[in-house]
Amino acid sequence: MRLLVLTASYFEKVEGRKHFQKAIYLLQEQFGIEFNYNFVPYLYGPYSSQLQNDIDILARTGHLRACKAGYLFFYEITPLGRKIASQVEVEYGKERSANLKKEVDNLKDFDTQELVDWSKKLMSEKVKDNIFW
Amino acid sequence: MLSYTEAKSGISYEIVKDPLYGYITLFEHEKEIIDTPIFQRLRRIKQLPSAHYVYPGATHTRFSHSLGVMHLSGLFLKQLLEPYVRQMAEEEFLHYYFLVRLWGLTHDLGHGPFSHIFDKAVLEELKLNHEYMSSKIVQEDNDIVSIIENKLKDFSITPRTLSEYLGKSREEWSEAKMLGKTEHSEAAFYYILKGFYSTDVIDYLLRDNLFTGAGYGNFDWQRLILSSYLLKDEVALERKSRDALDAFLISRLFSFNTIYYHRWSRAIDHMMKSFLIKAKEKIDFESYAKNVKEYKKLDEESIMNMTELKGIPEFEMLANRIIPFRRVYEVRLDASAVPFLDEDDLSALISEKLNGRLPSDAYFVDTPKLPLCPMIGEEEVCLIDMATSPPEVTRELIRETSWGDVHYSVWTIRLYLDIKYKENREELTEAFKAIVKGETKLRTHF
Repeated sequence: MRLLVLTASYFEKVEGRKHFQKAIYLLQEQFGIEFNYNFVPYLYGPYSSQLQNDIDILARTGHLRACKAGYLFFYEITPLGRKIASQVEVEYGKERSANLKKEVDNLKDFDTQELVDWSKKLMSEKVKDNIFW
Repeated sequence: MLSYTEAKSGISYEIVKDPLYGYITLFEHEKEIIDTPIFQRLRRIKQLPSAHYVYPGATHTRFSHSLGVMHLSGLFLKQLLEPYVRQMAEEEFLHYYFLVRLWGLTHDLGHGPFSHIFDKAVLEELKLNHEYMSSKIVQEDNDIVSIIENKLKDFSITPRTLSEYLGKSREEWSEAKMLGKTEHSEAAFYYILKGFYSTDVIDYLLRDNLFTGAGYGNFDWQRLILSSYLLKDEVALERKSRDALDAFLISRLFSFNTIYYHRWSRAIDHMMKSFLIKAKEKIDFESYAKNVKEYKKLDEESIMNMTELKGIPEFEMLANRIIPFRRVYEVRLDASAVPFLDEDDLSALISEKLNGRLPSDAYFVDTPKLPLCPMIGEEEVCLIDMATSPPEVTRELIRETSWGDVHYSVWTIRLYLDIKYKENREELTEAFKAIVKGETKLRTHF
C-alpha cells in the first residue's frame, strides 16, 4: 500500500476509479512495478478489489482526498499522503522511484478510454479464456 | 401471493419454505436453473467454510443463501419500480424483475470449495475470482444457457445480459439505460445487490446469525427495503428509517467480530488455505476453472473424497477437527491506523528476527483484508425526506452516521503458533511485539 501512496503522489490527481485501476494494472503488468495486486477481467477491463480496498483505506486515513461527482470518484494526494510518499521514495530507492515516476508521467498522456483499451489488450494476451472481450 | 404484474407474466411458479422469509416463490425458469447440476452443487458448498467447526449449527450452504438473495432482490426491485409502472411497458418491468432475481440467484454460482479461501488459494493465481466464474458459468453452462434462451426470450434476457450484471464493477454501472419514461436509470439497481444494505449482505447477516446462533441478526430488513426509493442513478433511504439502518450496522459490526473473524475460524481458514495450496501440487485446478463441465464437479464433498489428497496433513486435521494453531498474541488498532504491512510482510519480519530458529510453517500472522468494523469506509448513504415538498435529499458517509461513529477496533492482527512449538511461544511473541510496536525500524516490503 506504501507503493500506492508514492504512485498516487506522482499522479497528483486521478479522475475516476476506472482510470486508477487501469493505470495501476498497466504499471504492474506492462512496466513491472511490484504492486502484487490480483486483477481479474471485468466487463470494462482488469479490476482488482484489493486495490479498491487499499484506495478506500488511503482515502479514509487522509492520504488521498476523494471527491464524488455522480458515479465518478476523483482522487487527489493530500499533504499527509505527500509526506508519507517522500519517506517511501527514499526507502524504495532513487533509481526505482525515478523509473516509477517516468512511467507515471507517460501514463498521464492517456485518457481513461485509452487506458481501458490498452489494459484490455494486455490482459487478453495474458488471460486467454476471457468471456467478456 | 403474486402481484398483478407477476401473475400477468403467465409464468408458472412453485413455492418453497425458507426459515427466514417463509414462502419463497420460484418461477418456472428459476426452478429449472436451480435443478441444474451446477446449481445443485451449491448445496455442497457451505456459506461459511469454517464456522461450523466453532458453531455446530452453521452448516447452511450457498444454495439457501442464493435463494434468499433472489427473493430479497425481487422485493427490492418491486419496491423501487412499482411507483413507475405507468411510465414503463409491462415487458420492461418484467425484464428487470426477472433479471434482478436471476442476478441474486446466480451471484454465488462461481464459488469453489471453501468459498473465499478457494479464491485466495486457487483462483487468484489464475487471474480469476468467483464473480468472474459466476459470469462464465452463466454464459457457458449448456443447461443454464438453454433455459435462459428458451424461457426468457420474451423478456429480452440473454445469458450475456445476466453475465454482464454479474461482471460489472461499481463505475461500470454508469453506462446504463434509462428506465421507461422516468428520470431514473438502471444504474440504481447496482444498490440492490452491491449497495451498502444490499440483499446479499442482508441475507448473509440474517442467515449466518440464525444458523450460528450468534444472535445478532435482529434488524428490520423489511423496513430498509420498503423505505428505499429510486433517485436517478441511486437508491435513497427514507430519512425516518435511519434507525433501521443503524440496527443493520450494529448487526454487521457484531457479526464481523463474533462470526467472521472468530479466532478459531480464522485458524481453520488458514489450514484450509494450506490444504488447497498443497492440493495444487496434485490437482490441476486450472483445467477445472477453464471448463464449466469440470468446474461443476468441484465442491466441498468431492474435494474431501479425492484419494490423492488424503496424504496432505491438513486433510486429516480438517476431517477430524484437529486445530494445531493457537492465537498467542493479538493487536487491535483503531481507524486512524493504516495497515501498511500485510501478513506476508509481518511473517517475513518475524522470520528475519528469529533468524531461522523456528520453521516458517510453525506460525502465521492473520491480518484480515477487510476492516473489522464495516462502518469506516467511504460508503455513502443517500437519505430522502419524503415529508418535505419537494423531498429533501442529503448524503452522509456511513462512518458519520450516529452508529457509524462508534468507537471500535478496526484492524486485528493476530499471531498464531502451532502447539508443537509451544516452548518457542515467548520468543515468537516478543519478536512480534517488537515489530508491531515499532521497537525496531520497520523495513518496508514492496
